[in-house]
Amino acid sequence: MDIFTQQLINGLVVGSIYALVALGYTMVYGILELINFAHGEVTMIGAMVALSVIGILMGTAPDLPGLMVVVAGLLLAIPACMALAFTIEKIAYRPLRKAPRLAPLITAIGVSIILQNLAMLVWGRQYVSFPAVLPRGQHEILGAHITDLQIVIVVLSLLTMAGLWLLVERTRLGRAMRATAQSREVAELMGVNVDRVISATFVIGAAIAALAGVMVSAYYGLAHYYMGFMLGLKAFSAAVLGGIGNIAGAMLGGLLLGVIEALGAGYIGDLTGGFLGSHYQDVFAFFVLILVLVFRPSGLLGERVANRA
Amino acid sequence: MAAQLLRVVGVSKRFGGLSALDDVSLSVAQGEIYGLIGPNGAGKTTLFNCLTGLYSLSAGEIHLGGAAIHGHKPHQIVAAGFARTFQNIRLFANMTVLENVMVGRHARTRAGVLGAVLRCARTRGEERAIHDRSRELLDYVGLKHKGRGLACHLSYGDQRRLEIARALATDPQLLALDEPVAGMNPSERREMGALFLKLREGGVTLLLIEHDVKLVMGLCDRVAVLDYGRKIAEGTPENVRQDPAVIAAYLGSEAP
Repeated sequence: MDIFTQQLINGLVVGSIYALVALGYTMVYGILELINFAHGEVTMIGAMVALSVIGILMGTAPDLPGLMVVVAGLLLAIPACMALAFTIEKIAYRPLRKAPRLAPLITAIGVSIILQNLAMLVWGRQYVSFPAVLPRGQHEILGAHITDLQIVIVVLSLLTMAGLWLLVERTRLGRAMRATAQSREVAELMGVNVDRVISATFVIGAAIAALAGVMVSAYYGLAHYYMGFMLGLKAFSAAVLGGIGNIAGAMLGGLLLGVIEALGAGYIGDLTGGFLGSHYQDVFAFFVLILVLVFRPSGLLGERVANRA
Repeated sequence: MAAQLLRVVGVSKRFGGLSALDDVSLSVAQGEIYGLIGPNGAGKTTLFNCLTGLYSLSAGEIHLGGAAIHGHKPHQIVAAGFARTFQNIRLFANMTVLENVMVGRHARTRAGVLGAVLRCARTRGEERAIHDRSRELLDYVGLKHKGRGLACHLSYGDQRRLEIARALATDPQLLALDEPVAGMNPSERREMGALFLKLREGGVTLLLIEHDVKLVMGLCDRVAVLDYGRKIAEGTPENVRQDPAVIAAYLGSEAP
């Protein structure tokens, strides 16, 4: 089996999930210059809600096809996350709209801790496993394996990103979002209801996060009240890598980060003569984050901050 | 006399101990070109910011077409029919010229997230209407073939025109222009003056802040003069020009 191709595939799969979560970070940052640290937890809640729904459905209607059960879980997780993000923005961030930037940032960390603890109370401290209900087909491609689930994850992610791109570039709401990102004040003076646009931004990001949460728990086969923390940090790193505030950058950054991480995990054993193993894979995301912050703080596709205004 | 469109009653605005506007009252009639002049720092732009909801009033009332608009949010005031441009041009620099105007249509259209996602026939029709109306407006202000470029690549004069097109896209009854010909050469100024007259013929009432006294005097039906946050004169350009208080304010000497 070709390690390089295999890790490339694995990286693209995980990377497309990172990209989806990173979009939520970058959209909110683009408009509010706020790093919404609670976004990782929204992803976690998405996974947890979906798993609960799946569990209940499997208990009450065991004859339903597995795919339908998972889709039902997803379809309930999405509105749940949208409502959650809407509420978070309204009660935690909106009152601080005019406060110094550090205040909402710290609030975001607080919200993230609250959500983690709530999830722990509701779903417990133990890992919740994702039932094996999805088809487990496997294919050979260029000497590597790719599963049906991996294909679905990549395709769904790409479709979601394309959809978001169209929304932002081609619709009335997207125009209002871009205008608000450039200048909240002017957008408002041109008749844009900025509060509503900001709410919509959070809600759209949360819908995408719910999808990502379900994907990641299906992929790794489990979910946990703490899963949003690491996933959120990596997605945030991906957003910074691509250039935070830049939507295309989040997509590129997510995919790149996934690939870097997978290749790193695949080769770190060989490179260090077995001294470090693949469980060090988390190191790469943050190594990349540090390199970007040192050498290109604006990210791959980001503009220099001075050019914004 | 035509109906009052804008009525400003006893408006004051204080920033801490500084009184930027002090009991300013004025009214603008439907179809009028109303000029607002005064030395630097007189409070002209502050008054604009109060009118458009950017600043909250310390005292006073503002009515547009009979309805109170003070205390409303900026986007609600736009929806009520009051649009503005900016003294220092403030376009959405990284959006295309056409998109800038299309943002201005926001207040007059409805499609939300759901419509955008589902792409239903009504949303598509609305999007096309936004597009067509915005093209018309670019044409109207003389930017017909410049819609596709980025707003930041326009020349200075064209950026001023784009600001007007964007404001017009909100279908205003009253358009407030904050120094619209600042930095323009005489021929550009004449073109802008012609555009203002065309706007008025199209039924838009204009409220004009301007430093170019000649332009104001030639164009405006009535003029108000602000000095240190107070209205010191109001009337036809001829009357205001001869008002001793105005002469004193501009020349910095005591009135004889």
